[in-house]
Amino acid sequence: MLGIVVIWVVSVLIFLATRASGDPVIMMADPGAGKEELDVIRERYGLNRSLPVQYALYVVNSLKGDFGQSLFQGTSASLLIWERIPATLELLLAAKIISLTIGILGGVLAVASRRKWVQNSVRIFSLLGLSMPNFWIALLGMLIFSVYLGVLPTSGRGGISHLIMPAFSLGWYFSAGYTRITYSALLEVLNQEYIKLARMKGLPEWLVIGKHALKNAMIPVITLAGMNVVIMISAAVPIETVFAWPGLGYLLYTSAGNRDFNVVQGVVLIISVFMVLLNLLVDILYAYLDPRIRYK
Amino acid sequence: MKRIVNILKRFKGFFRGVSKIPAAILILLLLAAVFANYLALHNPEIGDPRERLLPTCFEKGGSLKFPLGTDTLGRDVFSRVIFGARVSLLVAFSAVFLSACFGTLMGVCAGFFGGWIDQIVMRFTDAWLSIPTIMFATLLAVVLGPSITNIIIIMGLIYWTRYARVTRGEALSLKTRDFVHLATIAGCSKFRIIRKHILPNVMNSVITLASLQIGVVVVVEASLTFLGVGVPPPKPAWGLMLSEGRGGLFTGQWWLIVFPGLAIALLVMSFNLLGDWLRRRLDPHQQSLL
Repeated sequence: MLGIVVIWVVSVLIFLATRASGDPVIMMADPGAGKEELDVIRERYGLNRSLPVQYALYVVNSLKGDFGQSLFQGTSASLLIWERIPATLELLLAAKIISLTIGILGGVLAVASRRKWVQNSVRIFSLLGLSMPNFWIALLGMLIFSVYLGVLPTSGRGGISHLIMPAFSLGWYFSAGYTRITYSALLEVLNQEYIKLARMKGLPEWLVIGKHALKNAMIPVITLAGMNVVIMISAAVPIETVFAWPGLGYLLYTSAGNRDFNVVQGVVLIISVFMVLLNLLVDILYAYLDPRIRYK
Repeated sequence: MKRIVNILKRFKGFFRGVSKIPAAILILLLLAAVFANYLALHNPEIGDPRERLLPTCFEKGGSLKFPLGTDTLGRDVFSRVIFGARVSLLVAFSAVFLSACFGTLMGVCAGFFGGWIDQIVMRFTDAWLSIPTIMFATLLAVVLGPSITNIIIIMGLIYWTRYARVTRGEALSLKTRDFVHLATIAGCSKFRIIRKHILPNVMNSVITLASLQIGVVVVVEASLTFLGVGVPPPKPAWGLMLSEGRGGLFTGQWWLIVFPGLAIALLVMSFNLLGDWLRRRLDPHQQSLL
């Protein structure tokens, strides 16, 4: 229910923002086009109607999964968007895996190792990830791995080798958050009675942490991972631009520059729907991991 | 005179335990931003095309005239980095101030008055949080057109919700405290209660949140500028230098990429460390790794 309200507010915001951004007809027509030619274009794309009518049309069509024609590419906007989704999902998934692996590993290392230098390296690694803008990491990566070493490609989508640099430069920032939260959650869990019992049973320390403690410490991590997805989609826009990665962010970047309303609306709307569904999924996963929630 | 000494003593106590290196970096960058006119060697916006793409002073072919080299238009990279600090800090501080003021106002009103005001504000922040920030900012930037004022407004618009959430929660709990009830009985108006009793008590969290947020704001401003929807050329902004220097990646001009990014990273890192210190200072119960 809340999800529907959220999607509605988002759709109104997006609609108003795109419509207020100037007249796209002037940009679409030839430089010397007269008033009649402009009117013909307006007619063809429904831009001559009043704003409420345009909005109503937009809602009805979006429900049918039709975001109208792309004002620039001449194909349907939803087709353009659907084409780009797999690339973005691939990037997000890879970045998520990388960030979760690095992040949880860092948190566990910082807790399990009593050596000062291990904790300090984890700390510095996270701090660097938090502080460097992701597109700068991407550019430095290109400089080192593509230009000087020549081992990784600079742009486009392909096999694993195309994926490594974008996914890593996107994921590093987020791994810091996971490290921090794994660390504090683990410390908290390790103080509990059942951990003492597990230790008294004589379990080796890696099993105590890896099997008993980590599962309960994962709850805040998963919550954060869910909340981070929307930030990650945002953060992917500069990354996709740097690597010319054919995903939604790159599409939105080029479309916003062209004031291609239909595509922009479609992208942001799809992402918001996706976000609402994802929140639902996180809630379900939550209940699976922590049975106490089910009985509330 | 004695009072001033006392205040200074209190401040000395306040800065106990602050990490020296990030504080030094921040002060250095602040000084660079304030005195950019005197520190810069050349005009950051005008270059000589005959001196384009000169390497840094510690490489062959470079000179001390351009310590960090020049860009494609012959502008001095060092001067642009120095002036870039001014742009970055100006945008960051103004945007954080704007969003903190607006967000606190909304949050305190929502928490204090409750009812439908609370419902509307909170549903709005929920919706706001599921909009991808950079995408929405890109949209708004296209609407308003790129300029420094507009990027400040956009960043302020994007980040107010976090302050609203935090201050709403605090206002909700403060509202039920005895001193607020007593103030009501004493005949204080609602406006006065908010101003005298609620606002001072939420200030700590607002300042903490702002100090942690400012690094994010610097990065997002740089990203938007990098995408061509933030600070417009020929202003010397770090994000802009990176996007203009991208071509140098493949032709060997590494200094166009490294130095502006380094400046952003140093600034954000010192903001992060100091923000974390401030949080521990104002809220000693929290523990964290970083």
